[in-house]
Amino acid sequence: MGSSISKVLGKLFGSKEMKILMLGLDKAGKTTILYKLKLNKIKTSTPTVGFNVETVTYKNVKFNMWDVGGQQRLRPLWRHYFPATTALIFVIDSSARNRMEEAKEELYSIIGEKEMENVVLLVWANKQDLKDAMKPQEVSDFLELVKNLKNQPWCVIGSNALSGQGLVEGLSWISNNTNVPKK
Amino acid sequence: MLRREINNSNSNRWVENESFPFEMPNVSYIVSAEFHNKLGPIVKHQYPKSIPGFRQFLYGECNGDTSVSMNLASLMIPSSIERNPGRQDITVFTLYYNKFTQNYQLFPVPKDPRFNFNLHHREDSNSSVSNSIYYDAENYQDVKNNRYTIVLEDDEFEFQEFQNNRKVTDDEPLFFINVANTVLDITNDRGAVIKSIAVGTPLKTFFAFKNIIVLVLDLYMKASSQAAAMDILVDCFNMLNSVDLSLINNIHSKNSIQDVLHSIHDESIITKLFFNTDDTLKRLFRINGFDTKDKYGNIVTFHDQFIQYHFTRFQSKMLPPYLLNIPLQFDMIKRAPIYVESDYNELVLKFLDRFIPYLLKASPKVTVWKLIINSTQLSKEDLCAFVLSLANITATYSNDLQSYFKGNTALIFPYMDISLVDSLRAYLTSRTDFIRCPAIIGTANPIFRYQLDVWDYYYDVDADILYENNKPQKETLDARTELRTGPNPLRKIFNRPHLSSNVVNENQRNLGQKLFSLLIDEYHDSDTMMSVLRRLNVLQLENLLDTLKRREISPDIALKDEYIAFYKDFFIFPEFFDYFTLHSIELLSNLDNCLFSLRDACRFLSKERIYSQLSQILEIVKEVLRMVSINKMNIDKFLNACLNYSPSIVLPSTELRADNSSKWSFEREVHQGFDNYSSYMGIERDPNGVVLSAIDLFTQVYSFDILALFLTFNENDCEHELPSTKSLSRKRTYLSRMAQSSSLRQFLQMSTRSNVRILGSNGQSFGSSKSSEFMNTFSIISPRLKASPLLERRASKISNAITKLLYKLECHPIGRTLLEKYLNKRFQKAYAESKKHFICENRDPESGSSNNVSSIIVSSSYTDESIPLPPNRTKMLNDLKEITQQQESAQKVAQDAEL
Repeated sequence: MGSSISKVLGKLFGSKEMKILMLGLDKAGKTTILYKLKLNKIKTSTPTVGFNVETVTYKNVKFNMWDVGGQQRLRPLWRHYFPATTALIFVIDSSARNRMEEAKEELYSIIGEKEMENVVLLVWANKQDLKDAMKPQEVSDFLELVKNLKNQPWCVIGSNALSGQGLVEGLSWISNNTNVPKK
Repeated sequence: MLRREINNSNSNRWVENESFPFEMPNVSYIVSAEFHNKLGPIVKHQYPKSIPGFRQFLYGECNGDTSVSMNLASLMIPSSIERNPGRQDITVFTLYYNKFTQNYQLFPVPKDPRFNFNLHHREDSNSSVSNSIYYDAENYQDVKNNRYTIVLEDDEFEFQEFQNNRKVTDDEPLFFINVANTVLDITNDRGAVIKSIAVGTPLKTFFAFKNIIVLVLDLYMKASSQAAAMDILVDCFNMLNSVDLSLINNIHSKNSIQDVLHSIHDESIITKLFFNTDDTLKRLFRINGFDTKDKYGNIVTFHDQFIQYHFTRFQSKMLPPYLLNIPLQFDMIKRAPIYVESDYNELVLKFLDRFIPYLLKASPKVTVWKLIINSTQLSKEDLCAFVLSLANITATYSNDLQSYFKGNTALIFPYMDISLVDSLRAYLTSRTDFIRCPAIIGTANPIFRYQLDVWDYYYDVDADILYENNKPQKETLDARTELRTGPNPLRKIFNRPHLSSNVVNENQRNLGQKLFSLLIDEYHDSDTMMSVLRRLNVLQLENLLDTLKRREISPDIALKDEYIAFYKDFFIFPEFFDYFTLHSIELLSNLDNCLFSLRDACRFLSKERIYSQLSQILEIVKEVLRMVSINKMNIDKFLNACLNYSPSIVLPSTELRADNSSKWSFEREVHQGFDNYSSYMGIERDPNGVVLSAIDLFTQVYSFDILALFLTFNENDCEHELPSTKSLSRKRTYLSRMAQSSSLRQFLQMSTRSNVRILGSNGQSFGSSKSSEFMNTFSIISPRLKASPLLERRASKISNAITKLLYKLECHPIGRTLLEKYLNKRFQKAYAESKKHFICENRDPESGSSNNVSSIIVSSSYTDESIPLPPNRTKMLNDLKEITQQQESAQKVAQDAEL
């Protein structure tokens, strides 16, 4: 019933479509998140060579989600995916405390780019199910987003790609904080 | 240093082996790469040394510039390879040697290598995001200031000696075929191992190595240690170099004969040609012998048109026997500049159908374009093969015409990773030439669509959608631009004439698009598609030549450039831009037209007019004969022209299309044209035969029948004594006649074909007639010729010349088979009669008198005594001698009668 109403409303008022860029260090869980959202399944984990792109529809919004490999030598290529991006999702392995600094550096180098200055930022503090995982607030504090990101909407949400925890909330936040023309 | 250890353990392997060092290595490098869980794609091993320009350090070592080898690695570990574990995929890339920097590079080297930009990312040590490009123009300064030094490592001295023995020049591009695979592995912390192996070779037949590399990669991925993996690579390298491929290379280098072979799209002819793998092949490829062993002693076998090289002499510790039992197989027919394994005609046709209309709509100034072809659904192997298939029809890989337009080298990149987009951008924008560089680039990443400055057209293969980049063209106004576009009065001097092509393009668009849609609808094979494209190329060339002649444009123009400027066509077959092939096409056109005009001349015109027509035909046939007598290659070229020439009568009328395009039916017109042709030629169609499609009719070979048609006009009259024709003899060359004949000039113009070609007595075009209005031409022409001794004599001369010409073709190893296949039985019979007549005449003691000794007789008697010739060659010379004697005898008789 709800779905039908959503479809009708979509037809009446049009639907939003946006390009979402999902980045993060290697093994942060980006691909697992993507396919959990797309298929509601856990895909066999292999490192991403290049990229994955899928369209996820949520609340009448089409999210064209680009998941780009996060290995060291692939990171310089992230900037090629910047054009026409509406929102940046930065995925962090909350349990890899020793890589937090590296993740922070990468995040700031991305949002420091001119092409990305108007995008909204969602940080998924992933792998919350693991024992040593940092809490979303801890991650937020570590990243110092309050201090450094005053002109861009941002949000840190705890997530667990295996269970799907926090994923829908993240998309909902993006949907509510972006202003994309309806099609 | 692992690399050093590896080299120590293997350095003598290829020296110890009996077959090494190689004089001409088939494979210059073997490279392996893998996906590192932390770093991404990395080059792991390079053997026998690092590729100049791609020196890399192994993981863990200090690395000043990772970007260059990373580019290589990103081509070897293609994106999304992890999605299909256990299923190999293949990529292809080319490295170009820059003599100036003495390095290989991923982009073609321009004419002046100093201005080449060997582009790679500059890794900014202070930033993980690389956003700057540097150029080897910096290296140029180093070289200029003698600051550039080449440091050789120990192993490289050894390799350099090996290189010195090489006969292959270093500046040839190296083609790399790369096989990548993903294997799931629970012991790996990311659950999978991703590796690849590539071999770099100067051979354009690199796909032949595919099967072996696939198997070697499997072994390599299962290797127990790094050293074992490296040993496998070394053995693979040595194995591939242990056979001598000079025979197949030699065969493929015979361009003129290869052009004929790949123009034949009848398998029965190919089978017949290659049935006898000894004598025929020797004659076909002009090679002394086809031994069953190569010079290293490996067994070589022949199956139909394939050569198989068996690794019988190579001994390996690492490679299993089953792998050594797999032969390298090569097709003796070089079907395309770059051999592509499968048929991609459906993809090519769909693409051409989409792309060509855009090209035709583009501004007349647009002659080069940058095209991105993207697919995430095709395998990389299919994507690469598709791009190579397109490259094959754009003349970009041909031997003698390496540039696409105005000397600019086309960029063909079968698979490009996004990591190379900056290098691509810099390459495209760095060109100092006014004319930009054309490019065809295959990608498997839709993010390229967002890189608007690197493409003019973006083709999404998966959705079959072509996007046009509508951004305004930014052209730097340099001195050359100013000269061309500015108000400078010098402009007119330097500005080359370009033609207005609107009208022609409209016609070509209709014809080309109709053919493409028919090819798609009727599911024709790749050979038929290529045949159609070649014929379109020839038709357009005919038309262009005629236009150029009529407009009196300077003859020193570059024809290919004019062709591209004129038609903006995607497909170009460089063999037709060769002078003799072009001349052959022109002569066939003229002969075709003259023969059809003769019919009307015989109906309505005076004896003088008929005589004039006959003289034109004689001049044309003599010109063909003269041309093919120059050398054997010209016979090849003439045969190639014959195989690709479409007589005007079979083609649909373009005027009708323009007037009434909605009712126009290509198929109906072609069938009507074929009916007219059959009637005119007096060929009976088999009522129970297979109904051929319009495409089949369009691609049929008609030229040999046209050549032999005249023999039927003059049957059984050769023994008549001929009167003097001195008063009517004309010394004009056929070219001057061409210039005087408006009908001939018009003939080549497609837009007026139907009018000029063959008009019926009422002036109505036959193209539009409901049924054939043609009677057998024989019944009209033959009586007129026989009624006048003067005309009869002229006709006899033509018959003589045609017989000599056909005999020359018959003596050619392919020509004989082509005549047997394509010459209609009626004409075969006429030719046999004519030939028999000449031979009979030669037995006449008068014609063999010593007074008639000609240069051919001297020549042949000399060869008979001095140089041992093959029997067929001796027979041909004797026959030619007989024909010449007969001609001279007839001439003498005529002179005596005159006196």
